[in-house]
Amino acid sequence: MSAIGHSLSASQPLILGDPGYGAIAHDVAGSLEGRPGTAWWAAFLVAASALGVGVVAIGYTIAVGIGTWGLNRTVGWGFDITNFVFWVGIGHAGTLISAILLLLRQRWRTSIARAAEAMTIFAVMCAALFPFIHMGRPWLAFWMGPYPNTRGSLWVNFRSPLVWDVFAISTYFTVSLLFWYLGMVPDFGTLRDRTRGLKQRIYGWLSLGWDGSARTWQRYEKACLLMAGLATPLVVSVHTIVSFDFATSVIPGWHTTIFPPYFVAGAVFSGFAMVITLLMVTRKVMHIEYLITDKHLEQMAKVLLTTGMLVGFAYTTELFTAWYSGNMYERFTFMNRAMGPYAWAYWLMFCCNVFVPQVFWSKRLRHSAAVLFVGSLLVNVGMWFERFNIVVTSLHRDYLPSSWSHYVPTLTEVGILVGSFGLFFTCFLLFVRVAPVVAFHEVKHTLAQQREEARHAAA
Amino acid sequence: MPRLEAERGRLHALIFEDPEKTLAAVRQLKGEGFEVRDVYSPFPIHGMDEALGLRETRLAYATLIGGLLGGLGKLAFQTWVHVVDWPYNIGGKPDLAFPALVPVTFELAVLFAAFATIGTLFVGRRLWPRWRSEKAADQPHPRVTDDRFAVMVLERDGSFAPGHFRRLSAGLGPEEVIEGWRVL
Amino acid sequence: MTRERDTKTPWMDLDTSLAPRGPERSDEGGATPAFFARRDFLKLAGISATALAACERLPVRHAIPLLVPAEDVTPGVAVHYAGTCTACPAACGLVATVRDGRPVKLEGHKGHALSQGGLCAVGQADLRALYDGHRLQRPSLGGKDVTWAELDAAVKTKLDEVQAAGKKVVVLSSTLVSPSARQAVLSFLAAYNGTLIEHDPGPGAPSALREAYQILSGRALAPWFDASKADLLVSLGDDPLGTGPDPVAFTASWAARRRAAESQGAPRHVQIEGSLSLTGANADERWLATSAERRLIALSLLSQVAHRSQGGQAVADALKGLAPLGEFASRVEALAGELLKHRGHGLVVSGANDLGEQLAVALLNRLLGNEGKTVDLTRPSLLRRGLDRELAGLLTSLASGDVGALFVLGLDPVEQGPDGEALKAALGKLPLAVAITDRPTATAAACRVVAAAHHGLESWGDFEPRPGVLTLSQPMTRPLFATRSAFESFLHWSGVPTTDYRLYLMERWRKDVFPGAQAADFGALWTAAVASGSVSGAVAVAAASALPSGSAGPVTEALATAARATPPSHDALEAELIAEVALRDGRRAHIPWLRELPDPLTRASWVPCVRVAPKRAAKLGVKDGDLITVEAGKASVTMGVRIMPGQHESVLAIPVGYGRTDEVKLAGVEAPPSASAQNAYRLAKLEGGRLLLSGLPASARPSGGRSPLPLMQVQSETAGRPVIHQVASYQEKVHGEHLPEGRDLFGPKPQPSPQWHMAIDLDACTGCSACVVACQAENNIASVGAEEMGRHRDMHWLRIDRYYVGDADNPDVLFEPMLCQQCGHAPCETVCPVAATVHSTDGLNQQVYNRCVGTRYCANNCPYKTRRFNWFNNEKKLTDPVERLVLNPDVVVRSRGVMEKCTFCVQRLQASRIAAQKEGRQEWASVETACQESCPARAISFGDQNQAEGALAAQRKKPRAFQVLAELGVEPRVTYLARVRNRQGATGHHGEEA
Repeated sequence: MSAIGHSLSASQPLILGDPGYGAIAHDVAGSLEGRPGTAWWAAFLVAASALGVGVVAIGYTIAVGIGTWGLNRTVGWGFDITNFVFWVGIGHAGTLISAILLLLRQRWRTSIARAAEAMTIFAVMCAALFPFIHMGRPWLAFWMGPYPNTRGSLWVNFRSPLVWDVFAISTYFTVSLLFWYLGMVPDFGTLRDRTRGLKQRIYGWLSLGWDGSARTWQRYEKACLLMAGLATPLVVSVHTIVSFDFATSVIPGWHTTIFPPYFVAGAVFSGFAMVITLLMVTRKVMHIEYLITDKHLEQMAKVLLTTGMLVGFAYTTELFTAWYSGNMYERFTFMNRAMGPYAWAYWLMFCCNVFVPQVFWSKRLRHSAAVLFVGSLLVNVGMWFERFNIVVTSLHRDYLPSSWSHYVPTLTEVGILVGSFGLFFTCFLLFVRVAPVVAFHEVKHTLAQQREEARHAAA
Repeated sequence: MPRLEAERGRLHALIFEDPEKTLAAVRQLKGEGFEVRDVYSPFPIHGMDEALGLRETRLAYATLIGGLLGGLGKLAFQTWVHVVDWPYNIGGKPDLAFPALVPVTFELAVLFAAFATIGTLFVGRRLWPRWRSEKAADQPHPRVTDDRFAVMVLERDGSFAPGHFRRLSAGLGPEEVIEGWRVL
Repeated sequence: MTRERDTKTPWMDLDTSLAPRGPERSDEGGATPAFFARRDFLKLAGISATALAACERLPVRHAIPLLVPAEDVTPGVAVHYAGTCTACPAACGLVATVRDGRPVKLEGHKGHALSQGGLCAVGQADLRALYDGHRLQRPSLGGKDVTWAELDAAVKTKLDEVQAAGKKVVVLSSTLVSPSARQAVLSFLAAYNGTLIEHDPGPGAPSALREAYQILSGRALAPWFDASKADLLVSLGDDPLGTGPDPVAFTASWAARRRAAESQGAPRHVQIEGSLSLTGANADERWLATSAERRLIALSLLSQVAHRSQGGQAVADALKGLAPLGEFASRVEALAGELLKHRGHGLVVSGANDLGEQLAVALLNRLLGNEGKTVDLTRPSLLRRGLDRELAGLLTSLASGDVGALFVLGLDPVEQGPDGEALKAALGKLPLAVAITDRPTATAAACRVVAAAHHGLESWGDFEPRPGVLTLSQPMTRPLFATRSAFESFLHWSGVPTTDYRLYLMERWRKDVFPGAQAADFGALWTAAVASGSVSGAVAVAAASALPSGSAGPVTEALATAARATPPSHDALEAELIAEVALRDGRRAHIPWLRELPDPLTRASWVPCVRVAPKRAAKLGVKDGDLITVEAGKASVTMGVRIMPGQHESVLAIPVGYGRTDEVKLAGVEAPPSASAQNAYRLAKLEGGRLLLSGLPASARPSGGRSPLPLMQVQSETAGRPVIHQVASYQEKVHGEHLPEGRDLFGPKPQPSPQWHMAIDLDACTGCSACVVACQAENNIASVGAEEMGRHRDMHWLRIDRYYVGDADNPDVLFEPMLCQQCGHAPCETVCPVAATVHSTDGLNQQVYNRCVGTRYCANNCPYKTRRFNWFNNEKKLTDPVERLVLNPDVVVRSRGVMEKCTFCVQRLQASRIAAQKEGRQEWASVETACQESCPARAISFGDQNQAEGALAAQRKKPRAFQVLAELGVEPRVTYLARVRNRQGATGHHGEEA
């Protein structure tokens, strides 16, 4: 990937034209300092009402019981955990872009990292919602944490993957939040110096009294590097642990050793798809196409292509191991995925995740906004159904055929899914209104290097 | 800028529009024996650390210590829970099921390392919420967080040659020179 | 079904339209099924939402003072009282666990001579009937509540008027198994020279059986059948195991013979029937025959046996000119040969209400010398006494107006008879119509006088199911309502001095049972009898009168007429009214426990369904759950279709007992069409003085629309998984997948005694489902209603999986009780984040309800799917303070959002351990689980697997032993013993696969 980065930056600039250092902050910050446009309001209303639907559905669930969902004695998890894994997956691209690409010195990341990180934060928030509401007694959720209590010796079961999840998700959320904020401190400084009055006070407060002194910059860059170094294994560990929820069980279709890499690849895949979707909208709305250029999108399209083929490889590996194992339960489970009552979901997943990304072999299509946008949406649909397949299709026909059953979601569950998207986009829309959606200092740094390269090229 | 309070003298600021010029200026001034106190820039400038002769930061040790504390601490706690305080037959597995303890241990190591890193940075560089009024004094130019670059030269009694300084700085092509921006 | 079946692979259903399609056989595919009522989730949730309203605490008036001196009872400590079950006339022995003056659990009485400790599903559920919130609570006259004094006065005056008018006084009752009650009623009738007419609705022990013996032996009696001595059992359309007059006792003897197979050789059971019955499901060999064919087969068997037995000549001659047997010829000949080989060790029974067939069967048993061995006439069955012609007579005289006063005792003839409307009208016109019942039945509604009767557990009584077996029942609780013992009412009306039924009972016992006992002795004897629930030692049997061998005349005559009967026409459609295991004749159809009990064969709960053969369904173009209207004569019923393998193509089996008008608000039942359209009794035909329930000429047509058919099992195929086994002999080893011994990733764990283990003998298990209800009663398992059952949210901790093997038209049926297997390496435990399910030192997989947060991870990870989740606040639906009395205080009631499961009745294990430790005993493994205790077949053995000796060890050592999914290495603590199908004609010596 590093190679891609260099060839790219060499071949053509990441920032089109030379807006000058001032313009960058001016354009990005300008939108924060001005009033939101109608486009923003429209989007915000849609997102907020979706969120409202979710709030009602969740309230109803908690008031009446999990019975309001379509689950039964055989299928204990449905939309709830499907959504959970889906959102966790989305939440991976941000850290990946800001951390791993930073370590890989992928400069093309600078313009998009901030938005991607924000996306991570919000996606993890959506994800964290589901483990709570899927409990039969969510008001006792705090029992999932090991806290000293007066019930005699009573702790959590550290052998349970759900407990691992609790720690993984919360750690991931905290570290991502810190990393995100760390990245924004200098930009808050910039905003502080651009604004007046209350805004200035707030930004001033947020900027922690940032001065651009060389000493601060030195420590700061070091800290960023260290955080990136921490976040990189973290981001891999989180989805690995999520995959353990299934991999450590005995249910055929869950009990699979390839899950960790398979899940991580899937996470990167869906995460990048979501980043593309979001940024294509953002850059339009904020008129910063020269910062988030087609090149950036193309890079991400290439990542989609790669990870898409990774998950495709995982799917086929699963089928092969199921066949090769000779285990009748394994074999049946995958037969059932491809030919059973949920075959449509399986093939939908397969098409969206394996076939659709193949269009990105073509440079022309990589550059076509429409193709990219639709493609990224389809990938997200496909990735949602991948999780649905893993969770539901494995459960509804497990070991004893006498208790096999079927699962159909209720309106409540659909409402909660809609609500999670509402939460996600509401948060994101608010973010683009109050925080620098592009990391000025990083982009300026990139511009500086670009100028330098240009000068070298001239000489 | 409390860390300068030890020293007496006048602080001159050279404002540039361009990182390369800034870096060159610093090198020149240092070469000519002037004392460059600090540089303010909207983004880090490559080579500035060497030019200013700043020594490598030891932030990484904080990270390491934090990580070790978190990891070992959590591992010890889990073992204590399942072996000492609350041994229980769960799924017929042994009390000390080490592999099962790895994920949480790892997560906690990362979490503590992150806290240590950020914490050390913020405390070490005195980054915490304040009001701008106080900050205004520290920045020679309102746009050093935007698109201006400031080189701060300290004039001590005696050793400093104002004439030479003016000639030299004029040659460095600054946007402006603020002499005696502040008297320490 | 065009599908080819092999003789090994189990399967579960035809491709029922209620099942999702899948590739378990690759010929499936296509649309997913109709998930009925899913759209109604809001409505349902609404119900439960309203149910969230907490119910008020129990009023003090329901706190029941103790019947025994208080010093015998410590509050909170259970006392056990012996008694007799009154849920049906079978009068099985029972022991009630009474806590603080209220019975909380019923068990079988191990000392009982007939039921031998078993208690069927209906018996178990009788507790729920006691606490039924819709029972009649006080006497009423013309719909107005009155005091007993007022009622008695009114009845007496009316009676005098009737007598003056010279009209008949009739008591219509289900068979009076109680001698004292009989005496009370008869003495009442004597006062008004009235008549007693006994009648029991529903199939089983039909009138023709007694008529046959009246012809043969001069007495209209039903012999006592003893299957425990029968090496060869031939049953013609009879269901003694499931729904006969005494299923528990018969199952006990039937299973006793099977359990003795290792020593006495494999028994054989041939079932000849038109509709798959529970008995048929347990047969070694099953023939499909219509009612007419069955009659012909019986007669042919008789003629062949008669030819080859001395003294059979007259019979053989009478049977000349029998219609040809057609397809059955060779099989009948072979069977006749078998019967002859097993002279004196065979048993032939028939469920037909057909004189010719019953006569043939009786003669078969006589000629084969089974009488006195498996067929006991000296101590016959006293469970059924009525003759249909008496009922017919009553109905005619009711119509003609000869009857002035009718007392209906414990029956609901308006609902449970052919022409209810006419009877209802007649009752309305009667000067005195008295309903003596504990439910607001249709009959009660039609009668002006309603004498609200005690529930059996509230009243005194004695019972004589067969001569020499005399049991008692004492009140287990003070009456909950202002009701009165039915027989006490008769005492009041007959004007005898002692109107206290208890004293009356004691008086009779003093005279008849303990004649010549001094007052003092009697007191002791009586106390002993009440305490033990039965009189110890054999009672002098009324001298076994040498039965007249029956004049040949009428016998041969009857046979000849039967032989001349029109030969069976093949494809004519016939309706057969059947009883289901849960509802029987329907007198307990209002008990949620029984309605929610999935039928062992159809696996449907709550909703009735017509059982249709696959081929017939194809002809009618109906799928599972499609509504179908069956017309017989001028009556018709409309029910959902259930396509059943093993059903005769031209027989439609329709369950009786549904569609009662007093089924008030049964949680969430919605069974279109109207209830009355489901009352199968309407199809019955009173013809020639006989009430015909089978062989009714019928026509059927799909009536459009679908009925919600909550099925427990919707899958058709087992995908060839080794989850259940059947073998050909008791020595054959099961070739299932096994995990090599001692393969343990984690090294051995200490195994201190006891290590609980359960063994279930599938060869003895008949699928009668008594254990399921016993478990529900013991563990406060909620009833969730039809809609939730349809959503596969059943709460049963113990379910009975039903499998088929072989050809879809007539498969073998296998039952596999499935409960938590208490895995040594329980997958559910590892995954629980809050350690709410952990392992106990005695090897139990414990569930800590109050720690559970309801992630359902454990249930997902359970290979056996035996964990049950509280989707709603089920317990809160039980709002009626009376009905809440049924809850067992030893078991916590689970709240919403909590996982629950079987724990081998841990409350019992703990109780016995505490008791043992108090007495300083080390060994305390002698404890029974609820399911084990209820099992009439004694199919379940339970104990410490460390013990090398004992029943459990013996079972586990048998070659038929296997464990389900043992190859997963979860170390299940339940062992199953494979079912044996004895295909070889000759029993006694064991051979290879048939």
